[in-house]
Amino acid sequence: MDSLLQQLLKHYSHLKNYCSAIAHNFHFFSFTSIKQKIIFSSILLSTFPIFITIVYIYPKEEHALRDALIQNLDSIGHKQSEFIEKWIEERKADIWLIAENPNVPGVIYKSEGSENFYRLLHHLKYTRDTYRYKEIFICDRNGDLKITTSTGKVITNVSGFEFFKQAIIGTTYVSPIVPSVIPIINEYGSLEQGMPTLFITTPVIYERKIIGVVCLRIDVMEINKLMRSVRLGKTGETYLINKEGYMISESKFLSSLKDFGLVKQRTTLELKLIDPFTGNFTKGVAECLKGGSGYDANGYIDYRGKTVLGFWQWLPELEWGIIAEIDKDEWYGSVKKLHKITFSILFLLTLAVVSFAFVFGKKISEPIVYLTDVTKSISEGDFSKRVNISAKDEIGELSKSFNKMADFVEEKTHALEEYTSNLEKIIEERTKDLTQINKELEKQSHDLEKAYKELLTLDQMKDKMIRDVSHELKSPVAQVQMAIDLWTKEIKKDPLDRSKKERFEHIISSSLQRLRKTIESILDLSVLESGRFVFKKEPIQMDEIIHQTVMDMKLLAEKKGLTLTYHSSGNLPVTIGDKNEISRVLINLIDNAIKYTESGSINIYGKCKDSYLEISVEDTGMGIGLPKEEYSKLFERFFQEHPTMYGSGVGLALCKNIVEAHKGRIWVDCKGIGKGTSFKFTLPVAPSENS
Amino acid sequence: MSKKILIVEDEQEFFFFYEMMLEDTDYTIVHALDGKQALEMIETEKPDLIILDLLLDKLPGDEFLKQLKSSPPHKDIPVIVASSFSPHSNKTIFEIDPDVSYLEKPFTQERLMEVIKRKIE
Repeated sequence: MDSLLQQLLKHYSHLKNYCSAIAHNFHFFSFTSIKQKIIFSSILLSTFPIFITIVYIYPKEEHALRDALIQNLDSIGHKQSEFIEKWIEERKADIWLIAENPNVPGVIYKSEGSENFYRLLHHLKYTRDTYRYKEIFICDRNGDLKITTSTGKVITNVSGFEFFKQAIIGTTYVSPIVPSVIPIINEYGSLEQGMPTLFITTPVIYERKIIGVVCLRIDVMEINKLMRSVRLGKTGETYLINKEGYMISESKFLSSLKDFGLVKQRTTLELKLIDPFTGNFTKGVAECLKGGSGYDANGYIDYRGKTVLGFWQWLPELEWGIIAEIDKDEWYGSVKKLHKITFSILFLLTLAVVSFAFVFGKKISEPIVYLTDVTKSISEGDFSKRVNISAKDEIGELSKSFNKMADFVEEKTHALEEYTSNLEKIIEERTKDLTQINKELEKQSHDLEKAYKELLTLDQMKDKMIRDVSHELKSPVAQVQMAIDLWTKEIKKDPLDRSKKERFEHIISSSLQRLRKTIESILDLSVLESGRFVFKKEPIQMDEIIHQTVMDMKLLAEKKGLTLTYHSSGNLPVTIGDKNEISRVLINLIDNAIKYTESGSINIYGKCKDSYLEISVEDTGMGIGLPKEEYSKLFERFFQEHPTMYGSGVGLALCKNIVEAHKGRIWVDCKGIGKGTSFKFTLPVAPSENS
Repeated sequence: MSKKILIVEDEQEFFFFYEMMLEDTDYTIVHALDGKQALEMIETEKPDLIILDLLLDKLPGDEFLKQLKSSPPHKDIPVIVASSFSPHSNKTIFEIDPDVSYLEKPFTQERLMEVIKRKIE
């Protein structure tokens, strides 16, 4: 039972898997709608009984039926065997009774016509008629016939027959069914030679000697009656076979066999039991002739060519086989019919359930589909849609609740939209503010970064400045020191080299001057930057100052082979400021020009531009090696583009400080290395007395 | 044969001092004004010793030293660095050439001779 259930579950699981596979492969079965789910579930549920019936009930039923059939055939076969054996025993009892009849020895020894003879004949005839024997006869030891119930043609000597030979040696013998050698009355009441006949013989013993043999010729039709006494449906029959595979009883289907020409008069000894398709013995016969008993409930082809279920048993004493067969169609026909009816009912039921499911599913799903559509519309922003279902069931309740919810959502959505709109405005404003702040922060960050970079540069510059300034201070000191040392040694020499003396004096003098200049410049810048310096405010005739300065420095320029010229544009307007400091600016610029120009000229220009005087010092020197954006570095403290040249690196820083203190501007132009440099500064024109 | 000393010095005053200090010796001296000129003169003059100022135009002293030490035929020429800076502020010089001798300005004739001798004799 468990194994069957497991099998059942296995089958059902296969079916389920199959359905799932179909569902997976086809969009139709992907159950995106409730209707589909209901229909599919109903099909599954309603086909389940069919499935159970086919897989479980039908095989179970067939199994039970097969068991019943086997039992039935088995009991019929055994019963028939018993009948036959009992019947034969009764015939033996009859023959023994005759053999023991006291008149028999007299008849064997004496001739016909004695009193014993008639008494015995009477008894024999009585027995023949009572038990429907064909003939009873007695013969002596030599086989000569002594008495017989037959009135027609008889065999006068039977010594050659097997049934005599067996009996004369003392055996009660049952012969095979054989064709008669003399004509005897057949089932149609006429004499027929070759009629199937059966002999039972037994010896006659008198004074312990076998003096003759009693013989019964039996009508085989009696056996047929016996065979037909047990009914086995419409097509069921039991029959006997001999060891040659011939039927030795009458078939139930004699008439049809005659029609087909398989037999002429009867089946006994005429019908060989072979499969008409193969020509071999039928399975029942073949198995029976092997000498055992058995059955085949699956079916085999019988002598008519029909599939039959059969039982067989071999009777070894008689050397007969008994076979019980029934058409398979008849036995299982009713079951198959029942199967058909059951299947039809279940199929109709399934059809009805599916139809109901279809209608019901549609009825159930329609409002849900409707609800889904409305929900979709609302979710897409169409808040005007509402559900109109007046049903009084759960769907109706759902619709009411849904409409309430939709009202609520609409109201809240409008509120949210309004809020969002306000929020957007606020966010926009805040974003603007934030952008502004961000920009400012970015600017500040940029400024900070720039300041940091400048700080770093300043730091590096500071290091460089300390190095340059220290060099600028230490170098002249070293020169003085070394000059004194060497001169001290030199003066001890005789004669004294005067040229060397002059050289030493010059070195000492120029070094000290250089040192003084450097210290003064640093101190001046320091005072200027401290803000403690007070510039004088006096009218300055710029022309005069430029002329004077050029005159003062002309010698220095000429020493280097340079020409220094002032190109005046006429009377320059008066400016207000500190004459000495403005002169210092001019001196510094011209001094630088001489220092960095190897050949060529230095030209000074002065002109009035709007309310400013613009003074420029242009040379034909080495130019500036820095990139343009770094030109302003030249005006920073201690910056030296050429640190090896004499100079403290504060001259231009001083100029810038002074010019800017006079509300002017100072800058430099250069067309590239080797193309000269042009330093320019402006000073505001003094306001006229009228203004 | 007298040893040749290349003096790389941009200040004429100092070069005059070198001339004075070495005039009574067997050393021959040649003068370069900057690093670039000095590199050219190494090829032509093949000096035995180089006295190098650091603060030079065109090619500063440390850069000159780097190029000299990375040039296989000249990397073994001994170098004396002579500067008014203290050796502590010029540590990179010793990273470029650990064998360099340092002469801080001002220096005496004796000191110069001592350093030169140590380097080339």
